[in-house]
Amino acid sequence: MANRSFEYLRPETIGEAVEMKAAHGARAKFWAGGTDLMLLWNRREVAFDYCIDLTYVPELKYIESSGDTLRIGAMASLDDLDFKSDLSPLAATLGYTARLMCTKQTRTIATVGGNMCHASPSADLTPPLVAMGARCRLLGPDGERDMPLEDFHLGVNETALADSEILTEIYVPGADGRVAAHYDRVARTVVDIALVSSAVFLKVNAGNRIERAGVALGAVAPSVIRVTGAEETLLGRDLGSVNNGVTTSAGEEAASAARAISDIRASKEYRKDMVATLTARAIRQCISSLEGSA
Amino acid sequence: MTTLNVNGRSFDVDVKAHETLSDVLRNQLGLIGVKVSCAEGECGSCTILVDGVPATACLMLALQGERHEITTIEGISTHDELHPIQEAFIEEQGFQCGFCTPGFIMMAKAFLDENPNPTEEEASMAMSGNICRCGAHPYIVKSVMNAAERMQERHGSKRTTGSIGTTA
Repeated sequence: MANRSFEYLRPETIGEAVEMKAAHGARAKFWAGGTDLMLLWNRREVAFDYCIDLTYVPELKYIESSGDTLRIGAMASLDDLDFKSDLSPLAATLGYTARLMCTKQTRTIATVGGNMCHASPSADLTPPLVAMGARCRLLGPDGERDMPLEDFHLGVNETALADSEILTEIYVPGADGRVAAHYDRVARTVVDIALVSSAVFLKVNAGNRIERAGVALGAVAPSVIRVTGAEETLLGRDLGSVNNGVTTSAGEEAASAARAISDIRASKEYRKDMVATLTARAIRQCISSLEGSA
Repeated sequence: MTTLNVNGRSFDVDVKAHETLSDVLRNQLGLIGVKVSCAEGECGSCTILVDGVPATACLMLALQGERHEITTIEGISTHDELHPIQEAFIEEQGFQCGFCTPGFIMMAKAFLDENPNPTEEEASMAMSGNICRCGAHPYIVKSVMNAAERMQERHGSKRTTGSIGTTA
């Protein structure tokens, strides 16, 4: 490894970071937390000539609730997410999810933006954010783009980012009012990655009717899947009418949308069964927290 | 030259861009209490404090140590007095081979600074990011509880509030 290194660049503003990326393009990598990148570098599974360290860009590090929107700067750490759990019910769900991811001393380093850009099919934060209807902002030399988070994730380790762009923010519009979200997964311990995961988001109006529903699955396809069939099963329903029959059929919708595979860790059949179970359970969790908040 | 502030002292070191903070602390500053076992951020052996926050030094670039206050196991005791957490680990025998111990003690320090009066369950959960392959975990949890008492005695008052860290 003696002759193998890269040049280290340290921007202190978003503007400087974008300039550096535009100057070096695909030869440069943004170093967010580096908890994935460091491993890939050490295993020689990635090559780059310039490392643009984002840890000295304070503008990218925030989690805030402004108006009806929950905003997460790309450099907010997973531990920041845990720390900000009290901000709102959706922040609490994301904080809970963060605590399932790796160990405390790694959560202080790992970032939300890095987790999104690594685009692992089993990334824990993606299903709850997608279920909540999160969007993201990408900034490049020619300006800003804004897109739904599910469109940002194109496949395994593949995102919509152009070589000259940076992910600056993930935000959840309409995060106010009576909302609830729940995420669950099958995995042995926090340092294991998910075998399958499911997230549900519900928003109800003053008349107790479900006006927004989000169901998203992780680890059962090359990237996150949104289950519109299950969402339609829930949309427009009165909260009290979501009985076991409804949650079971939404779970079945989710299982049939899952493109699970069999591998050394679990069979396709087991994964599909677990998708149905986790989804039905997540819906029930959301219902009971919404009833509690009524 | 890169300047690292470690254990209250300032060091100028010559580091390569890809070098990890754990390697530089060990190989250039001789702080071999920073143990590297998995080098993947899963075992917690290399846990240090960066501005008081626990971090796995194996996943940080040495250059990312700049402009921060770094604390390793070598920096928590004075020349003739051990830190109460170290005393507690000795009294409760919170180790067998001792390899993972510095990481556990640094994690315990971060935890107890935030939550000075924990329950045993909280202490156990807080130590779950560190692995002891000798299997001393029950004694490690006892050590943390013992350390909490020692630190409260030293500070003169027993705090009864819960964790500071969980409320934003």
